[in-house]
Amino acid sequence: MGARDIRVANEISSVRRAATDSLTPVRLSAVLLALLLSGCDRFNEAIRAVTSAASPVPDISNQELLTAQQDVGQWIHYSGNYRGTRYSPDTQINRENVGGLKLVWKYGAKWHQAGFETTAIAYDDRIYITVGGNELIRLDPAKGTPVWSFTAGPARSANRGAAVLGHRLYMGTADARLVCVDADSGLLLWDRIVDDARLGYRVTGAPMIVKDKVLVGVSANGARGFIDAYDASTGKRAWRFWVVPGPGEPGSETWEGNSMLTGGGSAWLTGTYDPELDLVYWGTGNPLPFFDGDARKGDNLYTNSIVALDPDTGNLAWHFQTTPHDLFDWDGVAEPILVDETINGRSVKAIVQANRNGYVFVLDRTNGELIYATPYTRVNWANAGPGGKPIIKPEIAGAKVRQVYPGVTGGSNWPPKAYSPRTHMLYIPSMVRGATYVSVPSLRVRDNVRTGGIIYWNKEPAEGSIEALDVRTGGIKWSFDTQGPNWGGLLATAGGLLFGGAFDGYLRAFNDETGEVLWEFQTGTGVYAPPTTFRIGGKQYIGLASGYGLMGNGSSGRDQQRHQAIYYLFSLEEH
Amino acid sequence: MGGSMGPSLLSTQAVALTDADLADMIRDGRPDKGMPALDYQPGQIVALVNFIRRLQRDQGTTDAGLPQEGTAVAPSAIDRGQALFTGAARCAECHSVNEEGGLTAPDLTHIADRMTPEQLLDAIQKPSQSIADGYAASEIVMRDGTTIRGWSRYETAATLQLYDPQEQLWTTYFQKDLVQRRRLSESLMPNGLLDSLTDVERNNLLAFLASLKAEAN
Repeated sequence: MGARDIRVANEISSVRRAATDSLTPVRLSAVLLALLLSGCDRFNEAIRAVTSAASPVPDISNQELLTAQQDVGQWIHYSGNYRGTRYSPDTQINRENVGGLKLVWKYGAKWHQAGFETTAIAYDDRIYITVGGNELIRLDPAKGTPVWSFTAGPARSANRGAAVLGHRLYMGTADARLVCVDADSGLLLWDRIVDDARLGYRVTGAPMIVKDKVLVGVSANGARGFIDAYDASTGKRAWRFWVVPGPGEPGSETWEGNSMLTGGGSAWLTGTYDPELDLVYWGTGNPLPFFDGDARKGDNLYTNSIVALDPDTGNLAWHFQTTPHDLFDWDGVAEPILVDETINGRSVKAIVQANRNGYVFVLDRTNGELIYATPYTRVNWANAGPGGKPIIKPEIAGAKVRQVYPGVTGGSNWPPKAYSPRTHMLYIPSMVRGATYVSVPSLRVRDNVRTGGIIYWNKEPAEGSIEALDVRTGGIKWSFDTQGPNWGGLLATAGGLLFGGAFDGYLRAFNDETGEVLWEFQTGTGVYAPPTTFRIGGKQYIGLASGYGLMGNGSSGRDQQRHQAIYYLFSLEEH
Repeated sequence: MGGSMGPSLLSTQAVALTDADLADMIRDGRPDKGMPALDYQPGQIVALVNFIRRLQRDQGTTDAGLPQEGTAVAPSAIDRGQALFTGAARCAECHSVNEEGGLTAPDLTHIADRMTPEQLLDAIQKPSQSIADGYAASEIVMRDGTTIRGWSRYETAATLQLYDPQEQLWTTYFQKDLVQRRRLSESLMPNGLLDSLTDVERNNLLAFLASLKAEAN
């Protein structure tokens, strides 16, 4: 998009329709007057009402963010909590009653080709969803109608959700901005350029709050990737961690010549945080050119790594590279989930990550040492190296034509995994389709992005499943066939349940120990987002965005899924 | 200075020649125009080119004036002007052309459709004379005494957004939190941007800006 488009990108929020009976008079006046009475004294009053200390809006405190994993009421992190588990302690919906789960309402949003990928933020009487990389919508849980919608500009892309702190919401945009809006009114509070969208940058992942900062990673699309931290109240940049080091910096020795300068290294998902160790963990993306390793000889740090950063400074504490010198676009951005388990008789503060390269990695999160790695899907590319770390087979690394499992979308892509401390299981949305990679060094996506090769998918269509892996042993306890590649994320609950939508359009509730299906609902198209749970008025709800994206369709080898972007809400009683 | 038989070495056309073109011309001459080939050693030619360049820089120009509307300008002058735009003249730190450059000042991709070379020169020399819509600067004083300056946009009776170009950050301020607000008559574009340029460089920069027309893109 052009610079002019960026400038004219209007941030003024608009009210599509106010659900009047669910709003207090203060909120109603704020919302309507902001639009209708701009320039009048009453508009001033409305703005004062929504921004004054006497505002009825509940603030989300840092303490609430820290204890979210024990909280049944709210969903205030992208991953439900800082540990990234997507596990809710709520038992109101459980194995006994889940069969009575009913649709409360559905809300139709504007479909985008990337798919409808949002994780809703929900607390008090409000649900916030993000749509298409430029829209943040506050929904009325009673009606399923928007209270307001904020549009950040014309550029659109994937978007996976917002973050909340105090009375402020934060959203990344398709044109690489980070916006902060008032959670009650949708009024813009600040709006900053993260980096130049014309170089390929986007912010598609949900931001993460750590203390007084907002952390975002970027989708770099050929540019050099980074993770940024901004002051949550002012929007000023606190630090930047470059995923790929500059010439002469530590890690640059793993790149031949100056190849690091065009080396990629996105960080397009959301990290996790251990407040005791005071470390942030983030998964990083693939090096460039994608398929031509000769152009960037070496391990290519810190691409395809889990990095541990000091949240105050952005300094690197340790790193672990899951795919050194990647040749297959296996960006290792999946969330590093924090678990405390006894493994091999030793109690460990661990990280578990289901990586796109087909392996689950379990690390000691205090120092990044590998505890074990084990495949969760079909893999053929690696031998066991030191400590069991998968190392690419020399005959594959040395070939110009490489037949590999998993293919370019990986054994599991971005859709979030879930971990249940109840069952000690990691639940992985998985897919199986091999591909042949042919190295063609000259191939480009555009001027500054070289693919360096061509991929041919295997003839067989993609299969998919949910894999339930016991983190203590690495063993698969059960799996469920999703009748196509699984791009649906997962949710585990203390009610003995696992929820997940899938390629076949069904949202299902499973017995978390056996994989038995206890309930299902047909959403109308493939599911491309994780379900979440929260309480409103003391009642537990399940929310889900449904809408398939082109990436899943293009890689499936199956009939195309319908285009829709619908947010569904379920509860135990019919409305 | 010099004879009247050959064209001026300080003309726009001469300034626009690349060093290599100039060197070729000295070596090969322009037999069609009556200039003989000169039998200099390569080192001497380089020295001559450097000398001519120094003349062009030091003397300024009397006849290499602003590009005139409708008059062709040598492509190399435009190229040099572009190099100045993105380099020494520092324009691209704030302005963009064809999606390259800064995001904080007006996009200049088709600026020549809207402004003549004279107007462009005037706007650079007197940034505050005319300020583009949306780039007017404001200064506000907050209740705690903090003073903030920036570009303002989307002003309402209740709110005002100011842009901080260093942070690339727009912030919303509420009128109720302000004790003072004034629209600055001066632009946030610095004065004296042309001071470090020679007249020839200035003309090359103007030649580049004057080339930024929709049909040329």
